[in-house]
Amino acid sequence: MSEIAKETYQTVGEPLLKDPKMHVRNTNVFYGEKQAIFDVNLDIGKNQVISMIGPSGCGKSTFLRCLNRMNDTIDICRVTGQLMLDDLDIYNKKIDVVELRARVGMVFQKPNPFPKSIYENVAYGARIHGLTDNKVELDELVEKSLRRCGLWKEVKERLDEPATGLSGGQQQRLCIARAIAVNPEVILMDEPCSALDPIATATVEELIHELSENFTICIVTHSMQQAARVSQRTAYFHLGKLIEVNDTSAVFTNPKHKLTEEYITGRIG
Amino acid sequence: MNNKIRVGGHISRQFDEELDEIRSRVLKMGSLVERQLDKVQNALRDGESSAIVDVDTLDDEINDLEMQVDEECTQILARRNPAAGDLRLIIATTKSVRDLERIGDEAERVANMIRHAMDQDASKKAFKGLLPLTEHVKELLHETLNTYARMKTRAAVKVMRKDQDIDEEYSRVVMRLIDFMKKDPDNISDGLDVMWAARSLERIGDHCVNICENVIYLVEGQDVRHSDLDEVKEQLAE
Repeated sequence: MSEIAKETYQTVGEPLLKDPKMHVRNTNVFYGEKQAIFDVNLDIGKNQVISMIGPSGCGKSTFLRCLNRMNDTIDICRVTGQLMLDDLDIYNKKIDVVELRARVGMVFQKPNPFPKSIYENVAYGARIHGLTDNKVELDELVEKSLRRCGLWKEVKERLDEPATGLSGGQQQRLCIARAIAVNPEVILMDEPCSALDPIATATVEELIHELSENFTICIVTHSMQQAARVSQRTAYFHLGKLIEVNDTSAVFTNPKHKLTEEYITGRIG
Repeated sequence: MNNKIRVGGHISRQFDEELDEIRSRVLKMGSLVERQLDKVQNALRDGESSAIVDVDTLDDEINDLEMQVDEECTQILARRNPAAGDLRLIIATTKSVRDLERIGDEAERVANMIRHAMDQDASKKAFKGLLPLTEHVKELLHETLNTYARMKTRAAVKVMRKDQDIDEEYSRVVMRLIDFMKKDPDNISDGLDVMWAARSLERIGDHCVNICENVIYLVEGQDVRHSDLDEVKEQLAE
């Protein structure tokens, strides 16, 4: 742990839970010499939606990307501390990262469908993870995933058409369908609605709500109203530190930390 | 200003101005309500109904301000999506203006009864007995408005405590009025009028308590309605 990380600060609220799906302890993230995350302790509850909010550069996306080792793709990035998915140590060098990412899926800011058909986009994950190669089973999986994302009716007649022909909102729901097709336990969403219009945003938010019955969802968002609408818990980051975590209703009506209050009331940004 | 709640300091200065505007309107409403009670007090003290002629006009102004503040709060809710202290300020304000408007109604009711009574000597005398209660209620209202303006929770608790004294004073007034009516059945009509007026004054105290509860919610985020006063004090001490 760096010297800076030893600065005393205490996360306000209730960062820890009983029987969490993921737990993160004493986690620090460095980009080369620069420390981006400072000694974060946080539990992520099973089948809950947790929002990460905070000003640009506060480390919320960096933190999110630690949860399925997406930061491994950045050479100079180093993560210390303990990050667990149930009993699995995420940063154990022996684990298969591809398998980890099947259990902890990700949806990005900009919809990024593969340059393939709608059908192939959803079936792709199941194929590479070896879930099934059977056409009938794949058909079922594609239909089920698209139905869960409320996209089936819209695309069932054009499954062979390129996914890039869909609207932005449909593309993002397709990406979510692709993510859930491999039956992950956790879905990470990095500003999933920032490129969408309000109607598409509302559809994705409704989808998040429905998916939370079966999946654990962590969402990074710049929209505080979105955090307030979709999540049960909210975590506020500031300059790499986890300042406050609490039930979303408490954070938005009576935050305990001055920095949280200032951020959500538009006094710092 | 209490350091737990800050009205200004938003990145959007326009938002600061909107919130300031709302608060100043609430305080203006408060000053109009105080003027109504001033007039009631003067009429009771001097035994003259001329002091209360324009209480109705003041009530119209108060009603207009209530609607303006409500509209501005609605606009802020719709356009600014306020959160935390800002949200609590809006909620506390919409509730407080309703209480202020009702205080205005009660003051108007008392004024109308006094106006009617001043024509008759017997009633005049009976009404004069309400002067101490009126003075205490006016004081309570003044302290309530200060509590809202300065957002002081300790002062809010003090006002709530004082309202209990007003409730006791009201009970004493009622007992006296019962004696007054028992003495002579001809006193019953006047006695009942004074009793209704005393009841209105006592209700003003209750509205002041509501406003103070709103201030505590605004500053601390705690809903202390329907709580015992000692419990409230303990909660705030924590």
